[in-house]
Amino acid sequence: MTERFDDAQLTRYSRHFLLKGFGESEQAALRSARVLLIGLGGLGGVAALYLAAAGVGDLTVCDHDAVELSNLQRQIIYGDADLGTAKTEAARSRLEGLNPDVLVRTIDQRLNGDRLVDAIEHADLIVDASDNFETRYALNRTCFRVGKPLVYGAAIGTAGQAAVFVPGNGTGCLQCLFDPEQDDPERDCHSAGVFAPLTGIVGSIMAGEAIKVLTGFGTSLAEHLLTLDARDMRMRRTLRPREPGCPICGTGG
Amino acid sequence: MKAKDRRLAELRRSIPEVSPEEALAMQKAGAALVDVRDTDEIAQGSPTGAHRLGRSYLELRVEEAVPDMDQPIVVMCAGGVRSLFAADALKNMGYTKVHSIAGGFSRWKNEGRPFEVPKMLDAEARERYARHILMPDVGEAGQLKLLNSKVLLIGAGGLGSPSSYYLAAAGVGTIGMVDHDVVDQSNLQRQILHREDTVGLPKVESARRALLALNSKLNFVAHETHLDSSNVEEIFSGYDVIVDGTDNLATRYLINDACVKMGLPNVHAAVYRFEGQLTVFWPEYGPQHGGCYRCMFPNPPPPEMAPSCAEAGVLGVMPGTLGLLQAVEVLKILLDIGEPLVGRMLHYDALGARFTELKIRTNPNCPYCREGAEFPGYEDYAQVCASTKS
Ligand SMILES: [Zn+2]
Repeated sequence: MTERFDDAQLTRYSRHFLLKGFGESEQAALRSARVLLIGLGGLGGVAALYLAAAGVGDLTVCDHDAVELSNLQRQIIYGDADLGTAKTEAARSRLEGLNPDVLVRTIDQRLNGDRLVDAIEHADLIVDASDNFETRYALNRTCFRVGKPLVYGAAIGTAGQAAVFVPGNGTGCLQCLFDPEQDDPERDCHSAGVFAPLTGIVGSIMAGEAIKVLTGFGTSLAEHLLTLDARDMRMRRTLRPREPGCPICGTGG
Repeated sequence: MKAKDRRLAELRRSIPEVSPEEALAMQKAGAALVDVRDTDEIAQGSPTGAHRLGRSYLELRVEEAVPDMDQPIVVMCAGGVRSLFAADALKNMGYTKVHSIAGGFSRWKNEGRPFEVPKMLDAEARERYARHILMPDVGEAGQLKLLNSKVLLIGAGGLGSPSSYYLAAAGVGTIGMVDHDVVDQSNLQRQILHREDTVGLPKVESARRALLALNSKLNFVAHETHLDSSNVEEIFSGYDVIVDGTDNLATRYLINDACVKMGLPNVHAAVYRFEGQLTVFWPEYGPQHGGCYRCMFPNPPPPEMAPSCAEAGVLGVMPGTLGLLQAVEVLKILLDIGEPLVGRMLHYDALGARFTELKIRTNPNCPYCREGAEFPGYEDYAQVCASTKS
């Protein structure tokens, strides 16, 4: 284990240390963790806030957009004064203001090809808070190639879902859930409405799942898909389908 | 002849046209009047009782407004041309009795038929809340409702942080917060409303800064005080929904009793370590007749049975998820959509990422919420240690 926590940190994380099974070694695992978070919209913003609050030591946030007025209906990490600013910059200052112990790195461009592989290789865990299927499939593919756990979440209208994909555990990947040939462009959040707090629920659940994977605390959604509908508050946790012949994660493929 | 004119001639043969006078008579007899003009045109006036669906999302929204394919529909635009195309689209969807108003709104207005100037969002609000306006469940009318709503949160801690943030983001016009604590460094592990540079400030002041930074149009009301029987009704009055995010059991009873007495919905959440629960106590709500907190726990436990006063651990993100679920229930109540969690309790186990739903029973003899009950009066309980601080 690395060096001990100082008094300020012991105070800051005191409510974690009071938890049975969550001690200094779990908090140290968060402090030494490197998390890559793709997409600083409704899901990514709140996930980043809770990861920073919980004490993740090294957080890389990636987004190439600037803050727009229509974001502020649900992206609580920003504010009126951030309009026009790069999301990565606005998020960095907000996250550092919440927890100065966190090293926040920013990537202000769309990652693909070698740069995506590089970024994923340098991280312990990847949070997919992107808003389009192209990015989602690329992240899934690369995480399975490089062997890094991937926390996935999505929200549209009043419906949301979350899952954790762990290469090598034999419980399938994103592509076992969806067919890239058939994905529906209408499901892109750019063209559809989204219920403000729904993105927050999914984003906070994603942060919780990331914390569980990084610390080994609790049972993550590594085998399940969580689906929720905010309209009538129905939540379901189901065993995920997996395709034995999946070209990404299948053993037969 | 241009293609447009050829097509119009075809449509005039297949879509029956009616005068404003006939349309009004049809509307009175139960037909749906669908106004397909753009928002800036509707802002100048629209027939009383019309469904203002616009043209761009007409096919996506119409079933919400007119679920019966055999209900007669009269379509209106400004001059009677666009309404022909829109009427054709509705026919293609399967509506069987579609008409178009000849001469459109200009003729409707000239002939003195009834219209109103709807309250509208300004251009900035339309942009800000665009993703809500796109939702059939919210729309422009729903967003206006939110902007005119008033929500009071008790507690600016782990639950109140995300719920107030998202209510402010979603456009709830007035948010009040009751809290008499100051921000402590140990809060920052989960209370995302606060930050390093507001440590030591009253929580309501820290909250005010954070929420106004997010949405400068918000009307924020700080109640930096301890809730007790002498001030509870004065503080609660004028609010549409009360959100219980307190970590204090005595306060929880007070919130319950005041909400029952005043007929206010009480959106309740509590967290303990890795688990949380959520429900809406609202005895006056519709068919369910859900009970109140006292139906479950008639009185606080005696001191020797009460949980320890020591702070309990809590997984940082845990109250976050619960507070967000509270925000969802608040917005559903304000917008009157879906089914509120009345008479059922959602239990969340963060360790297993598992939600379960329990039915909660109403006590038919509850002295507080049973029908026709005389209000028994408030109880100012001495310090009863709560299960946890959130
Ligand atoms: Zn009762």
